[in-house]
Amino acid sequence: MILRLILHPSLFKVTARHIFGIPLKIAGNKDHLESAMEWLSLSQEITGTGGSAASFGFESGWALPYPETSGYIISTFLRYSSFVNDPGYLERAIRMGDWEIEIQLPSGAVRGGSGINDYPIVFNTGMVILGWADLYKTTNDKRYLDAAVKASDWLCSISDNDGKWARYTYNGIPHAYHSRVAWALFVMADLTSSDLYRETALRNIRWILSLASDNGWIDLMGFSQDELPLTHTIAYTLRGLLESSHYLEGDLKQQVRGLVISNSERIFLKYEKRKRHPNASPEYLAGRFNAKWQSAASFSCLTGNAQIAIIWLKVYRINSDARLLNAALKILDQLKEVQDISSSNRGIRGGIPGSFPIWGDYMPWSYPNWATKFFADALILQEELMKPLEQR
Amino acid sequence: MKYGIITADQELYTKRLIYFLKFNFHKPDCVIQVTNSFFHRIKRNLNLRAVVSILKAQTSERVSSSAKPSTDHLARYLESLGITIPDISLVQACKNEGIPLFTTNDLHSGKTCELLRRSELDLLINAGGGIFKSCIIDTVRIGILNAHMGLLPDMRGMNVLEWSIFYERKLGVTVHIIDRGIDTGDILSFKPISIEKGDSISDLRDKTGIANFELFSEVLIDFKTDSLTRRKQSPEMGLQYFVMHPRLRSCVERKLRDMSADKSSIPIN
Repeated sequence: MILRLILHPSLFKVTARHIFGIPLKIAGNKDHLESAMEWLSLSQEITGTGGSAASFGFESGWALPYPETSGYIISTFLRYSSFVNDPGYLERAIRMGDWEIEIQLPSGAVRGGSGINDYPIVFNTGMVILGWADLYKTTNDKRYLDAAVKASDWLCSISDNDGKWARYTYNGIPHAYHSRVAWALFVMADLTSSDLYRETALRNIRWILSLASDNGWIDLMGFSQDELPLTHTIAYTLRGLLESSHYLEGDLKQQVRGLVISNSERIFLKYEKRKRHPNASPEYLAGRFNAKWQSAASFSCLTGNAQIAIIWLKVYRINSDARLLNAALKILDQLKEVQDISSSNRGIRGGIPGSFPIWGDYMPWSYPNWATKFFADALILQEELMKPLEQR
Repeated sequence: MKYGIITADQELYTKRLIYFLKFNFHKPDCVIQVTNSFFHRIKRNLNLRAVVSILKAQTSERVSSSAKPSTDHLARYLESLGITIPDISLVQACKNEGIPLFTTNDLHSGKTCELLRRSELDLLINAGGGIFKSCIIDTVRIGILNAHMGLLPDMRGMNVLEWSIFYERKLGVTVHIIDRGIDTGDILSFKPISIEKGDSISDLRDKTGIANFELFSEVLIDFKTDSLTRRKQSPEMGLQYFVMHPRLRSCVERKLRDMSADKSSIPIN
């Protein structure tokens, strides 16, 4: 690694900035968003498959295409295409969706890991369903709906009676962040009027609620039971619950929303109070939390920060608490401060690292495609929400 | 009753407050000046990320303080009362008025606590002294008075003037006793301020200074005459606000411009 840092000034510059905590100058949102989208486009082109490379690593360069995250990058391409009115990104989304169909397992499931593996994974299947569903809604091409139906049928066939998914899961355990899989099934229930999809999703949401403690903490939010959850998977869990709540009614809807809103406020207060001076910007949000909602890591998980920003923005849209919008603007500024939009290295230019500092626990020395994806999603949402305030 | 004033980097404001209170027959018994210098802050946070954070905070303070109000409302108010503020340092002003001035470079040092304990104060007025830890709070018999730029308990924390405009809530100053929480101590009094034609955020901030002075004076009288009512706050009441992002601040400035464009005086509820 040291040799690579010496031989590649662009990598050395990033490392030096992270050692000394030197922020990059923030440009306009448009420039940051454009640069992020160019990075995502390159991550697709580099694989030559239609899928997006999982990451760009300091040591290994561009990784293999990643079916899971390519699935939800489809939605980012579609959103950006409509946001800037650029059909090029719609074409990219179509290429990505077609590739996902090409590699879909005969069972209907989506493959685990990066590259082409033979084992199915529940979470990955849910994430690609979200992409296919968005593609179907945009293009009306039934191939995407058929692929998503096949995948949804598989998910329903392996769901446990109590609502959890315990088989074909990452690390072989059930996860609370499968709430995002429930969200995908709710979307499909809406598109197909399937009671089976809706019932399976509902069971999963009820199972997740059964994991919640009085302080809002939800068990099994992490990748494994041996380590505390990252903000990345905490945000996955909350986002899945929040999006699912749109398809719920009555007390259950209130219960799910209440849990998401109270937890997003807990994280917001943690973030805003982490500062050295009352007027200073907050420090980076800790990358992990423990069951008492105490910060439990010395690094920050940057993809988690982008995802948390999205949750704050979405909660603001629900309850008009502009303190959350304010915190989202700040945490996104911190992400802009580590997004190098003028690096000579195209693997770095526009991408968001996994951790701050770059050698932090989560995806060390690399730029995962999902960090850049969630950052781009957050910037688009931020602009949409700021527009009415700035036009007043 | 014995009372003092504590300040950090607010020399002019403190000087004005001293002369105003003296004019209203409440000459302070002492002034404590915390020389919380930039270098002391750096020394206390000896690591690079902290230094960058302090430098950024320093820059943002300079940027926000560079937005001067169109008029020095507080100076005009003092002039209207016939109070002249001599162009001398705070040290000289205290000397001239026979008010003991104590300086310290660390608000929470044992030396400062000891100094306050020895002073046996009943009340301490916070004129930008900083955030007080319990070792300081406990040294004053009745408590430390703080003027908060918003309506309590609704609007706690930072930039509440801006947040009040954002949410179209009542603007004004609340004087309260400082406790261990953020703006959670007993409420003593509230004075509203109104928006006038052409007011910017800096104008309104400046106008809150007038309300601060009047409230401090009224509260001191109430203390002396034992006619003060203290209203308890509970932590569940109200919300804590934080420093407003520049982009939202611009929205507030625009909103304020629109609000104050046509009317001569606009009450907000």
